Amino acid sequence: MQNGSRYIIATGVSSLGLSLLYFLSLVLRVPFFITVPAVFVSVLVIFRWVLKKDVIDEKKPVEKKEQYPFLASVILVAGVYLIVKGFFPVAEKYGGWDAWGIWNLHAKYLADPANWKKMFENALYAHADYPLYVPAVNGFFIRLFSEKYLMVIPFIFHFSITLFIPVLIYLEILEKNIVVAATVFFLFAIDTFYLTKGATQYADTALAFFFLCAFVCINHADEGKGRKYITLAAACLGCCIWTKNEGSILALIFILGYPNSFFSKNNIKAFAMGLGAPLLVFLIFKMFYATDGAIISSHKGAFSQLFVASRYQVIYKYFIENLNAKFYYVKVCFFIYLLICLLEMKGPDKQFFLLLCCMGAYALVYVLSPGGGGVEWLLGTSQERLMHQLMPALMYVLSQRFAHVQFSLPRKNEVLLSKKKAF
Amino acid sequence: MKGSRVFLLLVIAIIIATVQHVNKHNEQGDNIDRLAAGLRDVEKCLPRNSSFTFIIPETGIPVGGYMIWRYLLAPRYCSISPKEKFDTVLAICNMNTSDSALYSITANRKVICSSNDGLYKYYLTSNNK
Repeated sequence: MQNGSRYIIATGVSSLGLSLLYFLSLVLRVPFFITVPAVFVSVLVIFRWVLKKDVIDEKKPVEKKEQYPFLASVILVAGVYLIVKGFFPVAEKYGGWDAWGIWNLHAKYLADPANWKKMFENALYAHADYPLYVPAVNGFFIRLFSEKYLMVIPFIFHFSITLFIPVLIYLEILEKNIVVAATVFFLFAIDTFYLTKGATQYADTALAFFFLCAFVCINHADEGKGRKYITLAAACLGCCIWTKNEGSILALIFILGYPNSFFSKNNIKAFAMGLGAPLLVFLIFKMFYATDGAIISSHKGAFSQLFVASRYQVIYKYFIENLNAKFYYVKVCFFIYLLICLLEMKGPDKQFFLLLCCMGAYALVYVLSPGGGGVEWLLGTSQERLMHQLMPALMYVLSQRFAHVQFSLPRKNEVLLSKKKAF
Repeated sequence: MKGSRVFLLLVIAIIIATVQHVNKHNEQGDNIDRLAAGLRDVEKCLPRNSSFTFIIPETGIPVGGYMIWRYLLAPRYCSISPKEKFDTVLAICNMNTSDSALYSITANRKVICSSNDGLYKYYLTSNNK
């Protein structure tokens, strides 16, 4: 794994540790002067562990030679500049409706150790059943630095996540093909819809980030780099669960997609180590604190809707509309991917099918959701966000396949050889 | 590319974006800042562990208003449910509210504090005489 990717994944996983510890400290009423050093020690330990170089044969660390290091750095700086520049005009100061209605509201409650449980009294428009990864991270820092920074802290968090996603994909593809890596990176950097969703300060981008991290980690685990990446992939899935309710669906599909990697005799401990803590905290939250989910609790007889054809039509109509309006380049990449599969006479990758299953599962949730005008309203308000959650992982999977196609710049040696021949 | 250099670049980008964002003026941010300033007196009178009823007696106040005010007053519990009746009531009215409407808010109730932010008037009242 690229060193830069390790820093990004270490930041993500350590923020999960922070969030879990902080939530538990509220539950157990641990004083803040104990929580703060405990959190910082755990962050340091996670960073040290994740940053340790990959070892295959226990003797020499795995190092891959980078193609065009200077060009790669220039592209990175240019892409980051475009993201900073593009983010500014689309970011509302306090985020979107759900930011101050749900996520940052919960963060404000969690920043107050004496009154945080009052959050669950808000029955209307507050969604007290939503998991607390994002609010706990923001709540911890609001409590640490003061409520004066109520606007700044969530912004830093969400901007970081929005920045990490394209950079992580870029660094991971860079090893294989600089042209594909740069193209995908710039597509993200100029994608106003992607930046706008990051700027809304909703938890969807965080979920997208952790789902992407799970794909990245499992690919490294499959390359035989040890159990560390199994633990990291499981921790990222745990974070998906602890970020949003639909994260549980994504995590479940992902785990079922890799039974041999996660449940083999060698890896099961590593898997349990990564997933155990977030899953346990999530269950504590759901069993003792969270209110019932709106879609699930308010709806009986949902299964009869499985046989209503018009529901499927409406879902498909919204999906195509969103795809054309907000994810146009994903659609183009999707068709290129299919074309490459055809030309290479190979089927799509397993990860591609996993993502299709996730989309199918989301569609099923809409089919089972309350009747009447409910489904259209739900689709209108949330389908684009669900697609946004899957989009980074999908782009990563597609670009991995593109990276193997030979349309990269000539390698340095080839350039030298051709020059010699010319002489 | 060294990982530490990539990380440093990301940290610099985050700092630049944050500084830009803090100094930014936009309609939504400025409105919320103004509402927060108007609520400062009310916040002082409401303990952080309090629960109160929130009413908007008139129409013409934005739909998202309740959620913004609830956010600004958190961690207090701000109820709009007719089933819950707390002693303390926070009433929010437009600046040009008629006297009769104001009377309906304050009649037979003790006004704990009142303030305004140039757009709205806030009346915090209680049952206790």
